[in-house]
Amino acid sequence: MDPPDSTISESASAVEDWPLVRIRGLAKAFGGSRALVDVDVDIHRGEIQGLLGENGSGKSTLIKVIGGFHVPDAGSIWVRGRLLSLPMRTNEFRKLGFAFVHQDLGLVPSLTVLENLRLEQLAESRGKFYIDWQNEARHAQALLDRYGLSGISQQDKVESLRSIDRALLAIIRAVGNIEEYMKAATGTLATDRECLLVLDEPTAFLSKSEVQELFSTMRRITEQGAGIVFVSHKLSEMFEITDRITVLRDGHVAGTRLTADVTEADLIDLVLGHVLAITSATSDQNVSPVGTSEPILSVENLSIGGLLSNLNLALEQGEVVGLTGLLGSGFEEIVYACFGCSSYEVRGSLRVGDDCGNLAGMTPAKAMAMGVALVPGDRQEQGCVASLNIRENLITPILSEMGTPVSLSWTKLNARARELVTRFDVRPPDLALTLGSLSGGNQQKVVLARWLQMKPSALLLHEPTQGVDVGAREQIFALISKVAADKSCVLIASSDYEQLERVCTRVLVIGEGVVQAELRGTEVTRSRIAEASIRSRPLAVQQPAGIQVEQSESHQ
Amino acid sequence: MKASDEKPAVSVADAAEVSQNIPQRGSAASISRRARRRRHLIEATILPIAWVAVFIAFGMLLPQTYPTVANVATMLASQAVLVVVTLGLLLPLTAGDFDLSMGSVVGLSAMVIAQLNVQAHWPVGYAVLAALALGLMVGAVNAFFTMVMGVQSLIVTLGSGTLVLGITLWISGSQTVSGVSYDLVNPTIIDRLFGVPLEFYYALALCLVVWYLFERTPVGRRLLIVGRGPVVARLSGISVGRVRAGALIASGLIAAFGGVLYAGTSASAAPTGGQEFLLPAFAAAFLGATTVKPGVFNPVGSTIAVYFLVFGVTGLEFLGAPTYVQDVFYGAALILAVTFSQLVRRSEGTARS
Repeated sequence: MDPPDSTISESASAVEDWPLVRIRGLAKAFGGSRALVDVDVDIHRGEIQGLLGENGSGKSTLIKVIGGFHVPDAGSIWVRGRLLSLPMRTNEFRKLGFAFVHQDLGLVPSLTVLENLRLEQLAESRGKFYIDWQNEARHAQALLDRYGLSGISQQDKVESLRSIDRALLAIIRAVGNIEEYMKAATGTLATDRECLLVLDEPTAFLSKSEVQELFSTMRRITEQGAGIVFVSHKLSEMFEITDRITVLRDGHVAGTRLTADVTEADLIDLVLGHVLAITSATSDQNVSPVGTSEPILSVENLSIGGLLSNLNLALEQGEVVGLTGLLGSGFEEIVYACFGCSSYEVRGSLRVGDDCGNLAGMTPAKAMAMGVALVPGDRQEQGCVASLNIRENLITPILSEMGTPVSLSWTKLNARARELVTRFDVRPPDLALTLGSLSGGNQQKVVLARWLQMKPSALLLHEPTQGVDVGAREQIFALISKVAADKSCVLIASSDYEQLERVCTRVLVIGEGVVQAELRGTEVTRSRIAEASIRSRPLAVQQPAGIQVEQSESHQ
Repeated sequence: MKASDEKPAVSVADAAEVSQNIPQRGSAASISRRARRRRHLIEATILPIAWVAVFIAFGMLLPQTYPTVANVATMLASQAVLVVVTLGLLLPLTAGDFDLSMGSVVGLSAMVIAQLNVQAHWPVGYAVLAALALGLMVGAVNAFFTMVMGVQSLIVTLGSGTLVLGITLWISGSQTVSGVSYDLVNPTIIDRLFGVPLEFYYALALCLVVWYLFERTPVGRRLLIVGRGPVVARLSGISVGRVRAGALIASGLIAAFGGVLYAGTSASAAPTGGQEFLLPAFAAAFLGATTVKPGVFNPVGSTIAVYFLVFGVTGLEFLGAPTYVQDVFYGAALILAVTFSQLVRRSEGTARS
């Protein structure tokens, strides 16, 4: 590479003395909330750096700043000793030799492996009048061979691949692209291999053996001089693959540690901060009812696709039970499976009071008839119809009660809708407003009102306060407690640990297809839930040799 | 997700009612609400006003021929078939589906009546029943392929429409069949009430029925919710497939009824006669969704839209415009109606963000 130009600062030393990427004093706020505060991070050549932190700790914001999606409010970024001028231009990250593999991978399932691998090159029209398919295929095959994926045919459709192959495909495409860009830019010097690969939770949907395959590919890439940023919630993976670990907490860098020097307990401390003492005092409300009464809702032998098997669950009157786990654990599918709308294959049975139903043939209508209600997490797509008004949204499930099949009583409907809007404090209380014009919190109140008017025996919720402002969040918490107190029970699937601490009497942590931990009463604290979640791990026998793993005490 | 959960194909729905910044309380809220109501009212009345304006304008240009009782009666009655087809189209459109086979079903229905009545000497009543049954059948086939097989309604009805047209040409030998019994012609076009042939009132009656269905029955609510948010509907225990299937079957039946009026109006059946209704019906349905109840497919708006278009086209023809002006007019109206809906939606979007 050419000698660095005058923008090199301070030491003015050779490129090799600089880390691949140096970030200093980075800050970013969204509205009033500070997502990143004074963040310093170095990423070295040939290094795998782990990025660890709770949901909302700033990991994804940091990644998006590096990728140029977000413009930072303050701070500097040096790449190979060269100060970047911010904001970055669109696609500048490619020219810098950065590549990102986001959680959704960015593949087109209905196209072939070849078309996906060469997606950018095939779409690029500058300087060419036709596509040289043989040349494209040669490039693709070279890439597949180099990273040990020669078992995949270029003509396979991506949708027919195993999930590991899809993940690997996205990764080698990223690597192949940056290598090509670098080569085109400055010839073939050794430093050209110094690209940066950012992997955002690539292991979430992979099995244990697939994770090992991914890890060996990652090692091969770093041997060529690349740096890797690896995001995962799983401590065991952090210990296995990373060289250093940076922990983010509330937008700050809580610490950066050499993986070899740090213990699991230290890391958990860094991730959570010292919150244990503060939160345990608030837990007196979270006392479980005495386990004598008959359960209202019970789920027996629930199996969901390849995610979960033989799960049993029973909720008593007045209980608010939380379900949580890491991304990919499938904890959220449990509520959808109980309501007959999971996209996975479901087996098992559901009992509500004296009604019993087979979950394999469950439909939302049957679940409703059994007294179950579901508030889905995707409010825009599944919870409400944004283009219809408050009244239309409220009356959806009660049409048959409002008059006869041939005549709808608008008087009754309006009275009911007005009463609900008042009772659930929907603002503004104008029935003719479209849902799309309401705030997230008020939309969610409408969705809750729609279901609670049916007085369900069991209320199922998925992320009930996502995209909801603080005030409405408190109101929704109060509603949930009230529902449970009113001869009913509530099952909440959520990855918001603070929310679970606030409302749940019991929390089940799902991981690796089973219940990893069950927390009750005073154990239901944000830190205990987080700890149990990130400790869920592959079983000890499947750990590769040489990696020290202590058995988690939260295993049941 | 199954096919029944796909996003609605029809998106004029999103043109939605006007929604602006929502202040939390006090006078600001009532001002914005009043502004919203006023804008709503203006939108809702543009088309009816335009209709009257068109009538007055042509009336002034052609005082001898255009604003006469006879001409108005002709304009109202001659397009009863189009009103019927448009009203039938509203059902699948509201439920988020297209029915492109309606024009062909009008043609088939008219041809079956003519064949059975004229060639096979069936009493016209039985011929009408047979035609209606066939329309129901085409609707059921559309519904089967859309719901059970999961093919998009746009494709299914495009195919079935062409297939039905082929059958119509086959059974008629590509010949126009005339001489349909006056038992049908009399109550369609000859008998009059207040100087207007009865078929106009049949169309009005159907408009009333569809209006009642949309506004006063749970089925109407279900159609709307299924069209706007199929996933929400399913999670609310509504059988999305059944609602969509019902809408397609009903549109087949209503198209066949349109064919009955068509046979009665001309006392004959031309093999490709139904085709000319399809595009104007779409134009009127989308134009109708910008008025009376803006943002929602609605029968009163659609009926007004049909007559706005017909009054305009007739006026132009009276002025000596060649017949192709009809196609230009209907085609432009369809594009402009949908464009207008999009613009309204976009201005709402910017008002909010």
